[in-house]
Amino acid sequence: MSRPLVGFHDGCALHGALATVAAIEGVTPLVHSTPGCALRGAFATAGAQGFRGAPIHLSPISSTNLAEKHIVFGGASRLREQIKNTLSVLPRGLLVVITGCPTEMIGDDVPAMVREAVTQGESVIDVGAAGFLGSAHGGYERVLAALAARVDELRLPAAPAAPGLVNIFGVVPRYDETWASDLDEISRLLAAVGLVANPIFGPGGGLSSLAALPKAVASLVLSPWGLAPAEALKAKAGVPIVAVEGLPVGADAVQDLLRRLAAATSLIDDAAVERLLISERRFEDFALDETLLALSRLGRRRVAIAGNSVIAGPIARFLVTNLGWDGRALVLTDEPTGDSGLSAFAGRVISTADGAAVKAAIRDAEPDFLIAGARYGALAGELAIPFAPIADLGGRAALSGGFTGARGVARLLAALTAAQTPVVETKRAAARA
Amino acid sequence: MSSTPKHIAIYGKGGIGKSTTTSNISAALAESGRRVIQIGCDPKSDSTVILRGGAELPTVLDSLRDRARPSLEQISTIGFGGVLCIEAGGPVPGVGCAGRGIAAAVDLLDELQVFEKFKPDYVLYDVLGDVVCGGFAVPIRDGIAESAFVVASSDFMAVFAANNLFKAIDKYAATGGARLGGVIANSIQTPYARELLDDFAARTGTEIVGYVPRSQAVAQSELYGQTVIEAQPYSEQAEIYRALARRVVGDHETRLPRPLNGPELKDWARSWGDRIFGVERDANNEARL
Ligand code: SF4
Repeated sequence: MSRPLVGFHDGCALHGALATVAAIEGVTPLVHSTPGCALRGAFATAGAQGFRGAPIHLSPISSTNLAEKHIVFGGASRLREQIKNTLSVLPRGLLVVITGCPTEMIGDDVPAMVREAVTQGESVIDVGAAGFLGSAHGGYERVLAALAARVDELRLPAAPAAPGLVNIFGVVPRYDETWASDLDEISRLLAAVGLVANPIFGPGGGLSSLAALPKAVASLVLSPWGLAPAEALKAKAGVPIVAVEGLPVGADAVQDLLRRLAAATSLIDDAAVERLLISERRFEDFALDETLLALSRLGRRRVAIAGNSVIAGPIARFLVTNLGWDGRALVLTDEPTGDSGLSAFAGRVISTADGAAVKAAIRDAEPDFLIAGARYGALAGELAIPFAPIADLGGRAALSGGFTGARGVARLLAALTAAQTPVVETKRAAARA
Repeated sequence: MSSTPKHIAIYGKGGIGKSTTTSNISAALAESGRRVIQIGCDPKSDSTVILRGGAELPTVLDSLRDRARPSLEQISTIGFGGVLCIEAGGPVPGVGCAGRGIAAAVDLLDELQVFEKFKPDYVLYDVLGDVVCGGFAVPIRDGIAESAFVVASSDFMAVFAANNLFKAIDKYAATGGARLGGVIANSIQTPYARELLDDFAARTGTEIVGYVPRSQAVAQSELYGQTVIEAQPYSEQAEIYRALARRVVGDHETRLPRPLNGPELKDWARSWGDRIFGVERDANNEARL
């Protein structure tokens, strides 16, 4: 018997697509679906799981808000109208039409409406992101794959030449909670060795970063979700792919990433790499020294880690290889497909987005330390083990909570050494107080 | 008559003659003094055309376009013998979702309290039977129609559509869906057609409730935009429809059919292929001798 998911970790494909599009400056999403799709998408922008209450206003996202008549007679002309209206009030740039479940089911001819707008000189593209097609991470994959494959149909202003440009794929805005901070740190690391990151999202990205995609010397793929756009660019413009298993947490991982990038491009300055690695190691060693006493007090822990693959796997690798911890369970909450190659760092690697299954996996592992989203604090309290939250942290985590490089290690060590065993509030205790 | 109307769904593959059959049943019932509503559930919206002499009739779903709640008068017209004619309507082919359209139209009729206001004795749903999504199953779901009939000819695709309807009936029966009244054998022309349908009915545990021969009378009446009951009330064909109408609304055993599965249906069709074409071959051989 199937059962409903409890405490689902990801949104639907449409919400991932929406978060992805909204994170590119100059690009406007238009949701072609029933009203709840865009509305729920607007809640989600408060943070991956940040929404707790009901909105008092409608979503600020352009949406065709289909009614029953559009389902019966087709919603294509409503879309035509909404494309026109959206372009008349929002600044030009790129409009991305994202289709949800109802329109995919009734088979609206969305490409025809988009082609019509394009013939009128507008820059519009459509992406099918019905919730039944997959999770939010899948929605990211669909949007970027479509943008990469059809980049020269988008009528974008030509990108300036950018020698040493590297596309960064696989970090999903908002759904990988520390996305902005991690993309920023990756960009800093690449800049130090003479490369220029194309993070697409946030202040380092924007409309012009899309036009630049085919001009890159490599596509750096940090999670399986970034593979499809990288492959589209490889097929289209011969951009080589460098795939690594998640964000580089720690100096060793940075070294490995740079070695693989250097093999794929000839633009990396060896001396600069040496200089960067020395400074990364010094930073990491300093952080380890500073927390040594607290770390030794913690001892060698049997740790369970739950999080998205872009970050949970690399954290497990660091804890096992660098701190000598015992990885008991690794739960990948974005449900990546394929072999994660992470079994060396955890007794069990489980792929599930279902909160109840995540909890069960953590219990089964009998850990004495838990690293997971804040929502699992209560479970740690129940198990009476220390808990270090790495997600569900709210907005500040996106800006400054990342785990990339030696600086990421410093934040990880801070979280580990600050970990406390949550107090379980029983009803009786609450009544006594 | 009793105060609760009897709801009956008549399914059939497109072009099989289900609208002609249903309209003639409605006409026959009306002629004998019954109050009848016929609801066409086919996006083509031509179910009731020979009851209303081709008069214009806005469909239920047309009213959905302007979001205003229509009145019963706006979406119905009185046809031959006082039959209340309603067309659910639907999108043009290739866009939107006709299945959702049927469901939406049935909901709207319920909201308009059509049955409470018109107080019919019988409500006949004429439903396109070769579309297989859930929307087209609405009339046989949730206790809307109590029994369903299927119009079939000896054409294999018509039998295939009938078999599909049997599957739907089986599926919904457990949750209060319609039971099968039986099969209406239409356009019976060749000697084997009757046997073939009898055999199909026997295999699926169902019953043929009437045999309607192919007839000039039907074609002629339709050219005048009328049912046979109206245009040629004394014809043999009119009598056949009257008998069929009595049978369809009369008390009879309803049942759960046993639809054939894919391979069974294929084997069955093949065996009939052998029989029919064997017969033709023999006839040709005889002619040559
Ligand atoms: S699952 Fe489908 S209907 Fe629900 S919000 Fe996502 S796209 Fe919309």
